[in-house]
Amino acid sequence: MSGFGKTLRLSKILNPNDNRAVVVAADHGMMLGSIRGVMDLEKTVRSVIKGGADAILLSPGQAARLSHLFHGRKSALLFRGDWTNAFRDKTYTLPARSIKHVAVANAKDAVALGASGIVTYFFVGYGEDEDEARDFELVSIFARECDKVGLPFIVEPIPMGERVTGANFADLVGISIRMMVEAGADAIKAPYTGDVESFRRITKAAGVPVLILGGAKAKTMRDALEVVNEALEAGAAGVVFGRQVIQAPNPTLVVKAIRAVVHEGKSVREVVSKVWAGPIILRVVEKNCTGCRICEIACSFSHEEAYAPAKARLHVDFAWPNRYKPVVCTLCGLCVKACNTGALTFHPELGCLQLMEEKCDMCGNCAEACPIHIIKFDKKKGLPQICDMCNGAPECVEWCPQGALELVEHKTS
Amino acid sequence: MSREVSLLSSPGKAFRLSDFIDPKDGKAVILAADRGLMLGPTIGLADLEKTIRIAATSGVDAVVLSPGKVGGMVHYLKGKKAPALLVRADWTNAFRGESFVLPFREIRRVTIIGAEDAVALGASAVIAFFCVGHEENEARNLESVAMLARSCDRLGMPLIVESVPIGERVTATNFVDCLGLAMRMAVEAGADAIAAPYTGDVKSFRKVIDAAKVPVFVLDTDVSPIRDLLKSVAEALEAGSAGVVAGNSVFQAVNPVETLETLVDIIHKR
Repeated sequence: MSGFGKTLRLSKILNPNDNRAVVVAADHGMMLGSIRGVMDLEKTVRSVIKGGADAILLSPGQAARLSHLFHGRKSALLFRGDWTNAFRDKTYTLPARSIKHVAVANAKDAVALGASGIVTYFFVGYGEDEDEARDFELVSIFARECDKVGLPFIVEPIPMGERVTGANFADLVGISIRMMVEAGADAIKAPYTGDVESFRRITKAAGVPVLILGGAKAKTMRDALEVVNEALEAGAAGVVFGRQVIQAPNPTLVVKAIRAVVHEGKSVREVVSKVWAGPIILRVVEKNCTGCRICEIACSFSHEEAYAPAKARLHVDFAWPNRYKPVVCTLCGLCVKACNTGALTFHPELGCLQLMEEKCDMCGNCAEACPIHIIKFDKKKGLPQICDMCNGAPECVEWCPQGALELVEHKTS
Repeated sequence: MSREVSLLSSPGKAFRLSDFIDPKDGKAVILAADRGLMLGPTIGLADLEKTIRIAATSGVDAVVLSPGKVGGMVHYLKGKKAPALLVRADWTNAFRGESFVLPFREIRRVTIIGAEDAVALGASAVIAFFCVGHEENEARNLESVAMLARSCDRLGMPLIVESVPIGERVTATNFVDCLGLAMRMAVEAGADAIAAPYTGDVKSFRKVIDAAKVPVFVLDTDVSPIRDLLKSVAEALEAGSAGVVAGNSVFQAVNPVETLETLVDIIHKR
């Protein structure tokens, strides 16, 4: 009679139509304190449920407090079963000196609350062999309890410590995933290895659904979604996003965009601009600019399909003796005012400039009006070259290696 | 809006109840597909898979299955849109009337699974009988239901009690009072919701529902034609009922699919 609980509960997490899941983690508070995005956790969770997340991961205390938000077959509730100090690096108050890992709940607690699964870490590679053995024991206890009560057990193996290198990372991910499956995990949460081949080997060997971590490391939404796309191609069953969702200005829209990629087969290009609820604008973080000008090259490639920094819709100025400053479209609107034919307008939702080529009479007023020389004229085509923020996924932001360019909400108050 | 269950002490129960009682209108359509346990392969249950397949597409909120049949039917219950699983926790001979092979001589009831088993099966509730009107077993019946309610409390598993007046001491005159008694005793022992046969008129059913203070589903007692069931359901809703537990009347209807969809329409006002 046992075992069907796991099947039914897993089917509330992974959609039976495609066996994929979009999971959002909002359990950071228990291990990292009140980080941005979990301050008003109820508001964040409501917003994520509205976006249609398949499941949301909460720590036990919050799960008990907020379970009423999940009523009525909306997102499923996942329970964090363990605690660790492993993520408290030097940037945190009281950074970890030695890694500790303990259980904070058991399967019975989770199932009594109506949770659809319990999630824990498994640390591999750090400290003494004794630490790894004790971690394995911790995981096994969870696995056996989950078997008894029919609760899906989801494990995130983490290679961590001085013995973990770039060279052995992918191997360690693969090995630890297989160990966890053999111990009794019903699904795995794992970092994407970075290439389709190695990850495909991992998902094949796992034999259970593997969800990839949505990387706080991804700089932009487009980055994050492109990793998702690639991982899906390599056999991943979906994603677990944390800060990318809960720290976004509009978590509902971000969840919808992720769902569109994971469940609806939409391309990243189609959805990436939809994470913005309102107007957007480029922001310069001047102190990060090193003058590499990759932004100008990326812009010219994207718009002109040529290496032609002179045709970029932004430029990097040099101020002696050693300061570089990217100059970008500020949406001041002087060019729009100067346009006599109405060819140049602001995008109704995103607020960036858009040019209707049929209406343009090539008078050149816009280029003259621009106070920072962003608008240039293409002598061949005879049309102005304007910054259109690449329709919500600006290439300059994607490519800047130093974080000197950002895309943010444009608050026009 | 029917009775709200005050479950501040059991968030798990509230969560599971919302799997089949729609939070928008507080109502549910439940299909009882567990009678094979008690009556053998009757109409509609001989080919259980066909029945569950129909139920899954008709929009019913939950199906009741016997423990042994969950595995075979789990395929139709997967995903967020499928009906919730309710599990039958007990067996009785009470429905084996005179026309049945081996009719009951004395009413008996036994528990067959506990709350832990329901949890392991992934159920959203367990359902058990409480019958009054046949003295010798009433006490043992209440004891079982109460013990089941205790373990359900511990595990956050809702308990639905089918409170049925049945036996030689039940008459047409005292039926409503017997029903009221059975329901109140079940609720006091720990039922989170009740399934009760219709009393025959709105006023008396409303009185019984008001006293319960938990959701009350009207029960299809397997003996009426579907026309009567639809009328009972409409009147029960008027009296404040939270929905229906439908059984043989649906299976014996000319078009079970259409009947189920009609019930869903009536109850959720779609």
